Amino acid sequence: MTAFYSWVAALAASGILPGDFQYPFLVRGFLSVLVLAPVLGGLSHLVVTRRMAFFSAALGQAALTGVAIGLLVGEPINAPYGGMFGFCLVSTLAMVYVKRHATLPSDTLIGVFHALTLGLGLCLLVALTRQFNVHQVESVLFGSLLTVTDGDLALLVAVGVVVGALLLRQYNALVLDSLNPPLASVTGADSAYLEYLFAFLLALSIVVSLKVIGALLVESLVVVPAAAARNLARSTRGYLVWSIGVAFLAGIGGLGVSTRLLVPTGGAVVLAASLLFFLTLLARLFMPRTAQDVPTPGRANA
Amino acid sequence: MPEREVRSPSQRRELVGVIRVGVAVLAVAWIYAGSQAADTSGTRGLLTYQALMADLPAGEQLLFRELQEGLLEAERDRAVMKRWPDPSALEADGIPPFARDATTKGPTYAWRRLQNGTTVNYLGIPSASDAPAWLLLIQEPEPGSPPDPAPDDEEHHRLPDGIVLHISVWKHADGSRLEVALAPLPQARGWVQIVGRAPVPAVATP
Repeated sequence: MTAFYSWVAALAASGILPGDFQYPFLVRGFLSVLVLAPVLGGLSHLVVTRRMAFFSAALGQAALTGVAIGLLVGEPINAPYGGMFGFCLVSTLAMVYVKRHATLPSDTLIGVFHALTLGLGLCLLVALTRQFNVHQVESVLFGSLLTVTDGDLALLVAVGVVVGALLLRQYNALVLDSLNPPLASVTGADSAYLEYLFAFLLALSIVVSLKVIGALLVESLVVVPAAAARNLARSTRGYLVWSIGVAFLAGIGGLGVSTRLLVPTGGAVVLAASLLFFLTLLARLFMPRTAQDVPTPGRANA
Repeated sequence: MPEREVRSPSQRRELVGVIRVGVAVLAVAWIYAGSQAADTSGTRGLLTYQALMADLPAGEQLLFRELQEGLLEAERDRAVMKRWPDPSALEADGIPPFARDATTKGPTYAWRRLQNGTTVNYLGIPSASDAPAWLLLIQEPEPGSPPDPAPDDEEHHRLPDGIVLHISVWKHADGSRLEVALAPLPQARGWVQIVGRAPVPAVATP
């Protein structure tokens, strides 16, 4: 990758690319956004349709706890992926299983998991402060391009390919199951399998996004792009395309603001996404109303 | 359209499936974490903008050491006078690297102190174009902030009055071409933090 970074730096020095591209961390950040936008944007509209925004927030907090567990078992500060993937995926399985079989409302159950994982994560982090420079964990909380390595980028691409492939393979079934689970069952779709699969893909995507977006804000990027896209889209395909487009614009915009103003990348990306949401809200006021403007039913209980 | 019966798995079958997948996930995560914990290479745990002092050329290692010594003298002045000394004062006292040792080879450095609030920079710009620039970043706590429980280590220095400073040493390859400006977040401007040793995993610390 060094030769690639040198080539990009030479383009930046000659004025073909913006001057900031002379720094490898910014090139890695740009490439991360290129991969993250289709992954998170693609999942985003399904997250909103399946009403899994709160579930995503709980997964972000679980990833933070996973970082603490990874550090405690001896993983390096720059790649505690064993703890993150392990704890997040097991939490995902537990949340989906309990949600499917408990009689309590799903948001209550997710709230319990949310509080449990956050409480555990905070206790572990405080224990870590006695033994570790905890300031480096801040980048996991708020996101920082400066901590993204070539290895992280490779993992991001690998997870992006796997998530993209599985999403494409099951896309129609997932959309139908999100909009109308009984109808999806009639067509032969296994609703339980789809629910576990989607939650698993969401957890994978959230874990690999942590270094760029941060644990506290990652759920925003799987909710806001779809919310903005919903204001503009006239079809399911449009919904998907607009979600990816908004995620990409928010990523690039946030990256630029973060680099110029030296603010955390996650915060800048989420602010950019929120700005786009309000712009689409304004745009919607000037768009002619159509039959699609009636609210979609979605999953009543997800 | 042919009729199809779709049976959802029983709760027990589903639970067994969930436990199987969960155990598989934990096994893979444990194997990965174990392999990472067993890796004892020196660069392990370094962030993208950090480099080990031991990997630097001899001349730069010497300057890093001198900066550590010069910092201790500056901290002593800071504790007594309640303000950071100017590089010229440290040079007058013969404290390296601010005072150049005539016996050492290599580029000379023009040192400046830059300060904005609680952020202090000692910036050394070399005379030679091929030499790196050096930066000593000192972050004081905000007035009135609670006591910092951080242990004394390479990045945390405790003054006699109990104030804990965050210290880091940086170098930049652009050297003499570098703009003279305060760098509160040096890594965002291409600086590389030089550390004496990589962060130690928590389990390895008693």
